[in-house]
Amino acid sequence: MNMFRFPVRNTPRKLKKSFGVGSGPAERIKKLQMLVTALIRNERLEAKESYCLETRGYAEQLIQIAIRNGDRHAETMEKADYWLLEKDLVHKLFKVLVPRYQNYTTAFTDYHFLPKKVPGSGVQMGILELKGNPWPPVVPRQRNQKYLLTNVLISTAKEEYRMEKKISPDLKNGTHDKLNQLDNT
Amino acid sequence: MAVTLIGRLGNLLHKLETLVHRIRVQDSLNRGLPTLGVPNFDLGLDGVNSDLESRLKQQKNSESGSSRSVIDSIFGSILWGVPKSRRTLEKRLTRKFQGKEFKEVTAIKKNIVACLECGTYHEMHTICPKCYGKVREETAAMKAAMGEDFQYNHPRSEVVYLYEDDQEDRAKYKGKYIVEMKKPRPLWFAKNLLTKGHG
Ligand SMILES: [Zn+2]
Repeated sequence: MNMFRFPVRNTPRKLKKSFGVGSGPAERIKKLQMLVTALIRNERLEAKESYCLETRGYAEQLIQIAIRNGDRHAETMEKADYWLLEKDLVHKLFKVLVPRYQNYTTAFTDYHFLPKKVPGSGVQMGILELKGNPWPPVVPRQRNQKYLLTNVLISTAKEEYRMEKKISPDLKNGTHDKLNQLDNT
Repeated sequence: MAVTLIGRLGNLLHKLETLVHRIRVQDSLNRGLPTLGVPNFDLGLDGVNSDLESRLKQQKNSESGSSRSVIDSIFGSILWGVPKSRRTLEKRLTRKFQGKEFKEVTAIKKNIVACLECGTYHEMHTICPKCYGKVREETAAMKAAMGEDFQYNHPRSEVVYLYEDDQEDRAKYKGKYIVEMKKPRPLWFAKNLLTKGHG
């Protein structure tokens, strides 16, 4: 019973041609194994959107199970052995990632869109990364834009508008009614 | 001029005569009287039609041997859906550029913003390509600084990358795997972002 902390599709994505033309579900799983392994090692991945988002679920599930069951659980170890093709990463999973993500209440991974190449094939590429990684951040410097001049002006204008609305409605309605009465007479 | 007029009038007269004759015949039929024995235009046509029908019947009876029917059986099923008229150039061009791929490229994008760091234009929901290029290079340098351990024997603790500037923080990272970067910290790579995330 895993509760994913990010939006999940009901149906799995079809990873067509993951291993060339004519590849099917077996090749899909092989590709996903490689991607999960790469994600756990590099902590940041650059791939097609569908590949990233499909990998995300498997990686998160693996980390969740590892956090819940620990490294003395036969099924969990089996699963880790299945998904991590390079075996030094099993140690990393239990000794680095489990302590890192123990108290997280959100997802363990982030997804970012990469811009499409123009002219190009029009494929949407993306970045999948583990949170709390040591690399320089992908989104450069998230600034507080609240105090930029334009934003300050807009916010004050909004406030003014709101204040006017608060005062006016009764008065306005009253005047309108009176005018109508005058017109009728 | 005169000749054509006379000819037309003659035709008209002839038609009138035939009409009157038909009416007379019909009248006699309605009254049950015997018809006049004058040869009729319609009757003549009927005779031709009957001749054609009889010929067609003969063909149907002996159709299996004829060459034309064999060709029909081969090509009849293929050669029946063809364009009847030429499409104009304008129509052809409009149809040509109606595809999804053309629309995507030619549509005006209203979600383009400038990066706050470097001013590169990119779509709003994407990350800045130029800044990400820098990040990529730096990441590759960091991986290289760690050496072969990164690829084949990953350290079993959190990894910290220390630049030349942050030697004073060395005491903070006790029990962590420290990688020395033999260069000053890049200006865009802020230090405080190295701290652990809080979920
Ligand atoms: Zn930028």
